[in-house]
Amino acid sequence: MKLSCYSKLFTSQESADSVIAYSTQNAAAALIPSELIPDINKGNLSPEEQEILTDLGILVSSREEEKIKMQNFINELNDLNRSVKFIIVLNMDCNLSCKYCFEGKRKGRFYLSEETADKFINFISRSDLTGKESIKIVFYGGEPLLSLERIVSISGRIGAFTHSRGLKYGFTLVTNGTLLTSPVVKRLKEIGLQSAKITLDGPKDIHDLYRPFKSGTGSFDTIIRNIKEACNTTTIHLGGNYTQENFREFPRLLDDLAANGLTPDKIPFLKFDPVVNESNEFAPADFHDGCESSNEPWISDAAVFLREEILRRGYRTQKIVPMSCFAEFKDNIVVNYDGTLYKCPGLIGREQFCVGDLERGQTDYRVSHGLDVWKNKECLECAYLPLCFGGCKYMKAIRDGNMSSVICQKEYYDGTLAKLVSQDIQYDL
Amino acid sequence: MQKRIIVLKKGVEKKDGPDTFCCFGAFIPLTG
Repeated sequence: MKLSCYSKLFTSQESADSVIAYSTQNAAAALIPSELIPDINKGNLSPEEQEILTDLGILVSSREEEKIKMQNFINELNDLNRSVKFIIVLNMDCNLSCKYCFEGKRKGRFYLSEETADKFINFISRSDLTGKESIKIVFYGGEPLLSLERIVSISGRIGAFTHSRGLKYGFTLVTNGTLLTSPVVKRLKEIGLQSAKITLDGPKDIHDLYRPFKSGTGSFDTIIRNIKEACNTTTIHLGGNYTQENFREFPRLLDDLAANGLTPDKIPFLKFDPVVNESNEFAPADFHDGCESSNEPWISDAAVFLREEILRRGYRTQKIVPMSCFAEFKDNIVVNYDGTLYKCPGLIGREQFCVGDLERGQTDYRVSHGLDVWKNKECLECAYLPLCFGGCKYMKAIRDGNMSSVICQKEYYDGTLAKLVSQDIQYDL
Repeated sequence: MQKRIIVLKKGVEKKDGPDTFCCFGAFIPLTG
């Protein structure tokens, strides 16, 4: 038996004479006495030890075979997928004026019309739903709650359709939270709202600087007030976008949440992410403080630091498991307000990455979106492949204007994975 | 000195596809 290509050995912080073995394929981890490591390499483990590590996916009989199998990993997940997921961009309008908004120059009073909503319902009813068990929708914008009546209309019709087909239906919102009042939550809950993702960009002083209302006044207090009420009726996931300059201030937000009674029992999931600089084509004119690559050293520092601050206060965050781009899944579709189809909300309005429309359906985007770019020797022999699968296609597209090669995350994982895995173990994620 | 292998986390199963909305650059979990 050999050590899997997709496993890593880390020094244990807790036990000096042991190492942590971690499988990036399935997130399994084991503490192995250091003296056994030479035996692993020589194939001299006892049958019992071999069985334990093989069951965890840390040992394999053939590295060549596992590399061949890995090439089919995403295909298998596509086959296993029992749901169809749509991200619907209801509008490109917003009541906030966030200084870094990635939609930047694409913003405007553009709304998904009733006619496009009709086309969307027709698109779903024409879709091959064989083997599917549910339809899931993420209402997105702009600010989706500026299209509240459209949400109600679309959701009601999909709810009736799925009911007639024996399918499950539910939706989530990605909202700035300013309009998510208690009556709105109650109304949406009745028609399938499962959760809402709300963004807070740090403590009040920073958040209000980055996410003001269009009038220029801060939005923090309004959002906190709404979250305090909404979390009693629906599930609230909190996100936040940080820069190199402000990420160290985000723990103050966590303290503010607790002071407002928004403790881990009220907020079941919390995750902060770096702001990404958009391309000049769409970027807001006065903002350049985001990242260009996940390999910038401060990104590693921020990821580990903020995760620790979240976890040590008892909140939950995303655990380290195999991860990939949304675009890898044929049944994941972004519907733009004008009825055009994309594979990532960041790509809307970039014609070269349009993958069809509600009338024509989804075209073959395999080449344009570089779905196979990670199927090369270097990636297949990289232990980080199951956490990466070629990296973020949006970041590749805005950097190079294409997705024809991978955007390697090796430096990022070299700098973070041991610490992230230790956090997962320590906090039992 | 520790002599035996200790399982810290069991592996997660492949799920029925991704279920979490990703942030750009952050990705969606594929198992859970």
